[in-house]
Amino acid sequence: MKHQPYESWILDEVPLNEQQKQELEAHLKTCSPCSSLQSSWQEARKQIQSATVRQPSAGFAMRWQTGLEERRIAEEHRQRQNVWIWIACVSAAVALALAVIFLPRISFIQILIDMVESLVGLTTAVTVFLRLVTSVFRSISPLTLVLAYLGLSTLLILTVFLWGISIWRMSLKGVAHYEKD
Amino acid sequence: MSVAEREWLNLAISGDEEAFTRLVELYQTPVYNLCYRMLGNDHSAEDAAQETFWRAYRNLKRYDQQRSFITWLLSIAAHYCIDQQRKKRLPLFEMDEFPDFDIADPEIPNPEQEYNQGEEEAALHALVNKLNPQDRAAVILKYWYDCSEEEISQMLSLTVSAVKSRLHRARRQLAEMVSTQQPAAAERRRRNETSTL
Repeated sequence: MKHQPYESWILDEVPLNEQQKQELEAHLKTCSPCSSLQSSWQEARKQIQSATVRQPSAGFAMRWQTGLEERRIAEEHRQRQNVWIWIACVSAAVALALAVIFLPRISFIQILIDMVESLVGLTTAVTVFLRLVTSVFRSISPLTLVLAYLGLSTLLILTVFLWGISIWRMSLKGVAHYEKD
Repeated sequence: MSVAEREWLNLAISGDEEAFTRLVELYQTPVYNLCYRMLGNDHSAEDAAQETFWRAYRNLKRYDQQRSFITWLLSIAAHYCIDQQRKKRLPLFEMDEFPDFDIADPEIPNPEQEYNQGEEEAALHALVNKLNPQDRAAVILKYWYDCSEEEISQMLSLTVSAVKSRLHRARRQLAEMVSTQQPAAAERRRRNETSTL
């Protein structure tokens, strides 16, 4: 026995015209699978629609407010972590790239020689620099020295501070802080 | 949406946390109910509903004000629950859904009736939980929220014809399941009717 279009009429819940309704009724009287399908679907539908609306337990909005702060803190923490991981990964990649570029060209002995030469060069440079600084200090007044020291210190502190702020801002980028937008 | 709700929404979009909390209070039940029907237990439903509001809060500036706010929220909840279901792929019914009879509760007039209702609820979960997550979401939105096929298609990011075919498949599956469960369901109903007398 053909079950189409009757199955579709039963399951698709499309409005039927009078003729279709009569056709379906006549078919259902003679076709037990379609008749069973219709009664089962009606029963399923009744079960679904008779279910009550489930309410959350009391204090849902309060739990939301508490959770909001916790989620924010967790999100900020995660983003800060991500920034540091990103910086570490970039640094490692640069170090690796430099190693890949330079290491195969230089032998281990050569590296040692270069290191010793660099140390000797550095020591010489530091000695020359210290001599130069001493001669400069002798030729200028103490007040100028203090001012120069203060200026350099301020510049250094400011740079470190600005760098810290930029890292902090970068780590918070994307966290919802609508009131700060 | 009422004028007050519109105002709260605008305030929330401009960064007012209190206004968003009012929206949470207003829409907690439909969102929670959808999550409960999708996930089948109170604990997961609470987590999913909280997560829905958090996602909505974070993406509030992306909300298209031409759309209904509750439709947008339900869409977020449905997508989240579908993802959870796909991740779990485990039976979701929990035994703690049955009422606890160890503690006498004066609010419960008839423990037997409560038990039977719990059984009905469990049977309904068992029925709906056998559908695949997207089909389940389509059925829930259609029969619990009276959403049209167009609305469901927008909420689940599907075409209208895909929604129609999913609903057709889900109805057939539900009918088949009910036909195998009918003797048990009839017995439950009989017990329920007897206990109310």
